[in-house]
Amino acid sequence: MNKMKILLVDDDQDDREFFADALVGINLNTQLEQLENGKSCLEYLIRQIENLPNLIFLDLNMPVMNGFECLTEIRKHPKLKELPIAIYSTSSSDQDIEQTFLKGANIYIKKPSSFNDLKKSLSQVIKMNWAFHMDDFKKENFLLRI
Amino acid sequence: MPDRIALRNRISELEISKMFTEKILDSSNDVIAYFEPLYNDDVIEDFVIKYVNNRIVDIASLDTNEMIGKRWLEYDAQNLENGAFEKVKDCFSTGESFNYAVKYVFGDQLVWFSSRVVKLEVGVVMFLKDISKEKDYEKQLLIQNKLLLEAEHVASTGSFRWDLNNGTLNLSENVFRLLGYEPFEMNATLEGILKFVHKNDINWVKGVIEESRKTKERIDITFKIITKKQELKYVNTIGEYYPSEDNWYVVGVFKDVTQQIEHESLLQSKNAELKKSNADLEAFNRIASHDLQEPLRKIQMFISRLHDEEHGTLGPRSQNYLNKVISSTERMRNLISNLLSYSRIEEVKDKPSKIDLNEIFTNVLEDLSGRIDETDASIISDKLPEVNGVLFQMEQLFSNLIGNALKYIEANRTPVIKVKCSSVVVNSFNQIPKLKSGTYHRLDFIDNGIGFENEYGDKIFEIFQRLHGKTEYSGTGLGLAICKKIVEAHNGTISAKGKIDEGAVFTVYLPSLS
Repeated sequence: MNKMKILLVDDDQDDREFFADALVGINLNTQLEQLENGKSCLEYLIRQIENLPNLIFLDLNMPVMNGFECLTEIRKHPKLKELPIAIYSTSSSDQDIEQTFLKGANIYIKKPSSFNDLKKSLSQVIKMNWAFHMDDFKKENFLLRI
Repeated sequence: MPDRIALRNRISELEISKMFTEKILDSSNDVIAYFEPLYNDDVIEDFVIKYVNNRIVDIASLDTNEMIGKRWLEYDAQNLENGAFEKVKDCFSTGESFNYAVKYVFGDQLVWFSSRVVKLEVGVVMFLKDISKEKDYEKQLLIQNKLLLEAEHVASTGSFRWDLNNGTLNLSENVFRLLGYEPFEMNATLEGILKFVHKNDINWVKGVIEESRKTKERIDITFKIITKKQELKYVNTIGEYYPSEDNWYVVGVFKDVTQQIEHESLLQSKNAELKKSNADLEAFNRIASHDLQEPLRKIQMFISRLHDEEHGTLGPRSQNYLNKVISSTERMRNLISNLLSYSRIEEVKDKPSKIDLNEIFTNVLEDLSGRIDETDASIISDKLPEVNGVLFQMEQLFSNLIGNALKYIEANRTPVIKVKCSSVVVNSFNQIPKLKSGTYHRLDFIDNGIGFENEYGDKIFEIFQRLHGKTEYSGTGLGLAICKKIVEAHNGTISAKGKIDEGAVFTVYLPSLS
């Protein structure tokens, strides 16, 4: 079985490290690519247009291009607009959550404060049958909060 | 014989004529008297009262029979003091008639007469008209005028009457004082008055006057003036148009409102300052608490990894330290998240929706079920109403109040918590501080916890006010501050009463839907 390709976009190196370690910790068949901001994410996706990731984890508060702008650009692009996107942020403000939903995010994960919780959330999201669920997301138009 | 008959007839005619004259004189409204002079060495030293009509009986309760034939000054010395004797003497000596006002005291009664004396042959006739009532009115009028002037002085107001027909302007004394003049020191004309209006206001003031002349609508304006003494004053002018026979006149008041305006503007600038510093504080709070979350979460993350990896290898002291770090960071996380929710209460612009408080109550009990089971608490509620509000805020309110009741209780006591509900009408007879008139739901959250001294009743709602050490009872000092902010954002109030070791009652008023 092919490895599931995961892209993490986050400017915080510690957070990227936690994320990578947690991914190794849950031992699922994944392959992780890490980027530091929205701009490099968009450039990467255009480069990899024939080999897109299966799931993108997107931080909101980033330099150069933040998560909101990046999300907007992805949903505008004809070949990228159906990529599953999970927002991965410290913010728990209803305003932020609503904004990302309106801009087309599929999942909202508040960054947990324990390593175990992080592993749990990641395993929950990665184990979802994404091919199946994306249709649901499109049809039902909802945001999953974790 | 015929002569005797004629004589008798003549006498009886005369008697009839005398009676007739006396009757006519008595029926007069005036006192009428006739005096003849008494000389001493060619000098008039008194008069003899030859006649006085019965009118004096009505007015002064004097006996005419007793008076007639008496010396006038001897009978009543007042005639010397009040100047009547001089007038009568002058009248007799010169033959001129005089009119004058004269005052008498009869018993305890003061009587004013308008008097006229006329020389008649060898004596003087005096007509006295009782004008006591008129004098009274005059006096009252004087008092009232004086009162009005004093009132204007006290209230810093002046009044005016402006006749549109001939342009005359009558000003009360205080208007002159307002402008820095002595009363009636200058000519009162509209143009003259307008010269005192500040140059920034003059065109506008003239415009208002012109416009009101056409519409005859009430004038009510406040403008600046520069007084004769070069002082800047604010004056409020109210004028009302009244129709006269062939034109209109305006009656109104000037009021010096300089102090009021100065106080108002001071208050406004203080208010603006306060609003700004409040907004700054809120923004600071929001930013600080939001930005603090980020490093804290990372600290917790590292600790959790440290804990996972080194668990079992640490010595008991180090493990104890690590546990302390874990609980302290958890406390800090609580604090920051409470600070954030406190600062966000006003941020929420959600439209309020109809909320069933019974549902809120059930949900909150479910959230607190762990603690409720642990303590074997009994929590019962009256049937609760529906209110307009923000759902998650109402949940937070109930959760904080019931959560507090579960938390602040002696370890060996079983919590008993009651939520009582009643309806209260607030109006001018039944006032509750900070509430506008209307119908309110009153919710009482009654517990049997540790209570508090009533003198802390207000303090416990202030931000970061804790009555207990955090080792005794965990708490961030924000729970009740959040409750207060939520209730006030819903146009209600919250208050508390307590008794040490017996419990507390938190009373919430929320506007009723109707």
